[in-house]
Amino acid sequence: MTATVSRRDFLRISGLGGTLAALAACSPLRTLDSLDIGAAAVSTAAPILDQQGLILHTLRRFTFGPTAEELDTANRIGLDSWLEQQLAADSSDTPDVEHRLAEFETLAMSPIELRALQENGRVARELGASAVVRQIYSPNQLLQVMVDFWTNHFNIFAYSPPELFLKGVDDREVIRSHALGKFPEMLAASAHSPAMLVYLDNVHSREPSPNENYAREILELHTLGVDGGYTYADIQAVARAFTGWSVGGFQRITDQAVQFAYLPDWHDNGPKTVLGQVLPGGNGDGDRVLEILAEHPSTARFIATKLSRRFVSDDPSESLISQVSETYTQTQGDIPAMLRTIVYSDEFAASAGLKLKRPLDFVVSALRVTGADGRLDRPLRFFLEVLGQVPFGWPAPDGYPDYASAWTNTNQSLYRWNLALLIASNRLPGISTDLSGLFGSPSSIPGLVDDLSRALLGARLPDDAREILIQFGESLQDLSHPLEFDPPPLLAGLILSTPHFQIR
Amino acid sequence: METETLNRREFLRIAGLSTAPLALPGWTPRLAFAPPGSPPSGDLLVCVFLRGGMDGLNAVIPHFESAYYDARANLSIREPRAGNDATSIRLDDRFSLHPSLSPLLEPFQAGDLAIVHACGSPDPTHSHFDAMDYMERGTPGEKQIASGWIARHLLTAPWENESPFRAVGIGVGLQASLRGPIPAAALKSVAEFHLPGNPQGVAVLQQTLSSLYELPAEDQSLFQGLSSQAATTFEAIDLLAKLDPANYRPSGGAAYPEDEFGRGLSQIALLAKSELGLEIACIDLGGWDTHVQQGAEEGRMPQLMASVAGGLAAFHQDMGTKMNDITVVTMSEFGRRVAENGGGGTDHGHGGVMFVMGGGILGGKVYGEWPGLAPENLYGPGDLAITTDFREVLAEIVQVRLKNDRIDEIFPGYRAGGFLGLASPRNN
Repeated sequence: MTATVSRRDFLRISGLGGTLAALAACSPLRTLDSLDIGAAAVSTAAPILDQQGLILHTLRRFTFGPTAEELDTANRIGLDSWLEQQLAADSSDTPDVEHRLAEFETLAMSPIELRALQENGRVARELGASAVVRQIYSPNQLLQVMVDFWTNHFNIFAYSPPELFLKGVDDREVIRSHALGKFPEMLAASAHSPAMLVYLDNVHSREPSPNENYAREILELHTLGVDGGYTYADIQAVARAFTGWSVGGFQRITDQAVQFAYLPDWHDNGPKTVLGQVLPGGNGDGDRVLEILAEHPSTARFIATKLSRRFVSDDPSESLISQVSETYTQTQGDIPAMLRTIVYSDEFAASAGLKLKRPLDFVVSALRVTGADGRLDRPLRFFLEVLGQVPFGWPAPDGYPDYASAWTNTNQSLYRWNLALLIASNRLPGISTDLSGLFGSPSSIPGLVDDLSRALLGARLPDDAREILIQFGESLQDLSHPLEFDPPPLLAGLILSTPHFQIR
Repeated sequence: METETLNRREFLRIAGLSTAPLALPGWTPRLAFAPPGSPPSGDLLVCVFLRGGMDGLNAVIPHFESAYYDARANLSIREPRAGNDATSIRLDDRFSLHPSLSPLLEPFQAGDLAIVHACGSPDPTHSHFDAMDYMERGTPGEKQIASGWIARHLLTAPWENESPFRAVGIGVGLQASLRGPIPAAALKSVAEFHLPGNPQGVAVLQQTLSSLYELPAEDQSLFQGLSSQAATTFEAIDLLAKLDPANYRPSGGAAYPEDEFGRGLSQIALLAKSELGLEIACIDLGGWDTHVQQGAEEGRMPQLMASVAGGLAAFHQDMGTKMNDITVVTMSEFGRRVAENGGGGTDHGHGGVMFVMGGGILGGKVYGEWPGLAPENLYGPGDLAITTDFREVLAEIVQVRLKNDRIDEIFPGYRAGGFLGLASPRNN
């Protein structure tokens, strides 16, 4: 049987034995001369990617997996225009996305209504699906990528009440409204968010014994970072400054909206010293803390580090972090400005292939490139759970990990392959995919492999992988072959299963 | 990393495992997966997490405490009386088992099951998430350490084991206790750990996929990591396919309950008997958050207890003499309030119960100092106090049965004052 020819034989037949993969010029997967990609070293080297390659690389990082159409558009208008269009997106949903979200009725309900509904499972499913629907169908892809980034930065585990009823408001008013805005404004919005105040226990914090949970996490995870130069005394002072920052109208069953409430009786009115600055006591203390934190150089550095890790590499260079950090300081935390610094850095251009798709990236990108349609809440939930990245489902306040080693294990491999094969062969219950527009005449297997690679990966596969798929596709024409399916879905499933589709 | 992978692959090739199907003796294949002379590990640890906060007071009932009966007019379990199986089962002068836990009586009386009461995590949190998280990280009140306690045990254990099944989490996700640098296999289902499709078709797909992942990788650690994981996954798929889990027959007439927990335990039993190098298996049973309609002798919590007890007793019976090299431990993030609430249930509490089962366990005894249920002895809003830190139980198991004495690294910040003495030293 041809398909079971061992790799060694196969490589000998095709004349590839002993040579490294010779990659197509447009492929962003080309071998880097060295993993040491500090900006200084790269700036003297030849450009790593041509313009088309750079566009593919950029869209892979700043979309949930580019469709062929999106790549065409970006190539037509050019990288700068594409980026500016995407950075200018506002947070409202497009009519198509709105229409798709309309079937999830709980999204339009208030926290009080959600609680009264007593269908927590449904509320959870629909909340999670709302994120995935936007990620798949929104043309404002960069916005959705940033929404995901900030959702993790200001992580709230949403699947236990009352956070389950409150996260939707946080998602709309904190994350989505500010995802491409100014960081200090998003920080302030988060500090007033009932979901966050409940999640990190500030809702109960009152003098004389303030709860330190939110104070600790806002310093460590939201602003300065664990090495940002604060002490336990700072945590205590920040906790005192936030005493009385609570939520009204929720504990009592009323029609009142659930919103931020400052409870003066709970507030510690004594003076406090936070990071060397004296606060007089009173309602203004919490706001002042937010300003101090937002302006702090450690915050600039911490946000710069996380953005660089998300968009460049798991281990970004000191020089890139400094550049992005400087942009933060000069622009008072302007998020689009920081993203421009990243996109136009030498290090970004040299980083193709260095980031692994997290499960959500993988699942959403597979659904995007195969034109998936259908009701997404139930079928997807299973795979996102098995792969370990349900939206809003990370229990700890630090958000889903953003480095490859957290996402390489046996379950990841197996269930990614399974999902790829099921999606491509249209066997995922409730979701339909349509590959017919992705290739020309299916009679030529090499043509089919190339068409599908371009549609699904945005580029031709490296020659050796391409040869394996051609061999496999041609073997399917043997009538005694045990696979009963047409070549296109099987080849598409295999392409979505390749290591090349696992990177972004 | 690369050399290790090659070594393992080389070994498999020599052993004939990566290509030709192996002739398997009977229904328990003994796949010599581990390299010769290993693993030199201690017991297989089966870690059962009862999620939601199990009510230890209705599981192991302090029948000598009138305060228990006073606090639970509707939920209390009547004192043991001979000839009436609707009441609790007497263990000693102070404690009795809930009737739904009766399957555990046999291992208890055989000296293989120890109970630790008034036990748990010292952190005062009543949040499920925080409490579970602290317990699985093994660091109450401390979230700076991202890895789980079991992962740190695997990391510090003085032996190597490259089996893809060294540590296995049964369930959809990997338990937080297993999170860490040593890869643990998350197995939703042993029977379903394969690619989709008919067997011959799957074989062809797998062959092609395997070729794609074996291609010489670009000089990028990412591709090498994926390639190495893929190799492990294919090994796991192949090994599990040879186990024929669908036709697994337990030994000794053991019958696992027909529920997810029972199925999960039977999968652990299959892996353990197959000698695939399994050192750790984690399995969960949720649903213990019984705020309303908890049920006294029948109902929601009794059903859960029947599931736990039926599963553990079947596992004990199935493993037979192999229990000499196995320790099973159960834990829950916290116990429940002593007083029942107005909804026929109980609210989040503090102290709870741990069960420890194994051939090396000095069982037949309820361990732990009893703090009492008088109002002045209760913790916080009316909870059973904790007199035994859960880490004391785990540290003893790790040191005595798992043969890893690096307790300081596994439970950082914990100072063991001593052990309960519930584990006997291993013979080897």
